[in-house]
Amino acid sequence: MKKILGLGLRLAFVCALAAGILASVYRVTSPIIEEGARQEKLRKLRFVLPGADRLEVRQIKGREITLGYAGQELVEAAIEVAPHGYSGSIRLLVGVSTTGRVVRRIAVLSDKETPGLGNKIHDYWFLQQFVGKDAEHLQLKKDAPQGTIDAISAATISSRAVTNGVQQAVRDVQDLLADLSSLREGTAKNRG
Amino acid sequence: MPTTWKDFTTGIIRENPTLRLMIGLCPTLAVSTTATGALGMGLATTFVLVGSNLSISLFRKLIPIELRIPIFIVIISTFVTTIDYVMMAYFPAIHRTLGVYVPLIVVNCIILGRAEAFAYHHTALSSILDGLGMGTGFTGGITLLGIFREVLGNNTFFQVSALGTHFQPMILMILPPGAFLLIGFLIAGLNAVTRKGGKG
Repeated sequence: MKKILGLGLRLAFVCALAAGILASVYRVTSPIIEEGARQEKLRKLRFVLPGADRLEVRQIKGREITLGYAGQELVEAAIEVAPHGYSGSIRLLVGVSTTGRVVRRIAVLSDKETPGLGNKIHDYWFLQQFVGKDAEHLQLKKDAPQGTIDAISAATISSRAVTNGVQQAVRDVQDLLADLSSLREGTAKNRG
Repeated sequence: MPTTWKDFTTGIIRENPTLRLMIGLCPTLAVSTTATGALGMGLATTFVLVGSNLSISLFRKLIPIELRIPIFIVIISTFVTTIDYVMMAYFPAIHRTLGVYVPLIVVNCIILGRAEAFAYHHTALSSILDGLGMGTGFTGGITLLGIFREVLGNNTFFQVSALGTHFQPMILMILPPGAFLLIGFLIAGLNAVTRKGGKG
């Protein structure tokens, strides 16, 4: 009995020591980790919203949308979508021009696609195809006559997932902005 | 001094953990799709190995034999969590590639194996050298595999274009079966090189 107690105490002491060390590691690194994640997100947002000089994050209908202003004028908006790819969700950040309802730029935030096949969705030529396209033309060429997107060979599922995701993002931005403007008109009327 | 020097060199070729002892194969096969990821994994594991070997050998007289395994695991996981947070803070790109395999260093049998078989019975200096040697052996093995898989499967070497545009990359090599095939060749290659005369 005495022996077990002694052993237990020693183990408890080692664990307490380890917990103390880890607590201080956490205190030192967590602000850097958070700051890094924030910077990374900001960098991605700036990338997909190249025409904006001021960003504003809004929650509309429970979704986060980032509005990009050039001066006072709303020119672009970015939204995150996560279509289902070949093996898990593909998280995409899509920047949409609010005037033309066309894609500005896209960033792939994370994916679990097959290395060498599906993860070619990161390739410049593939992502570049989406730039300047509106929702109607955001389809694979092989899926629809008005489609304008070339699929990656041997990775149709991944290509289709990204394409549909981007199309969805353009529609979502349209929806959310319609909501936003009706909200604004509402407040304007109230003021009047 | 020759004995301590031998503590260092043992792990590099003669008892190379991946290619000779064949332990720690799970991370070796899983994160060797790129040379950079493999090197990062190797260095992270080496750090944990040296740290855990050192602390265990320093306190080996205080660690009761009945409690040694739980205490080893607590020490190892403290180092692993530390390196996990440090990588997340300072090397986020490599951390993203390695993903769940950083926390899984805890269960890498090389580390517990060296703690139990070496550090618990040897001095701090020998244990550090053993950790460095085994870590170098592991890093070498996994990085070599990573280089072969990346060059053959993606036609790049540390993300730099490797064999020119005429070479058609073999995608199989960066898929799981490629890891098994190539590690077989590496093991065979090492055996052929180190075989001492006569029939091996």
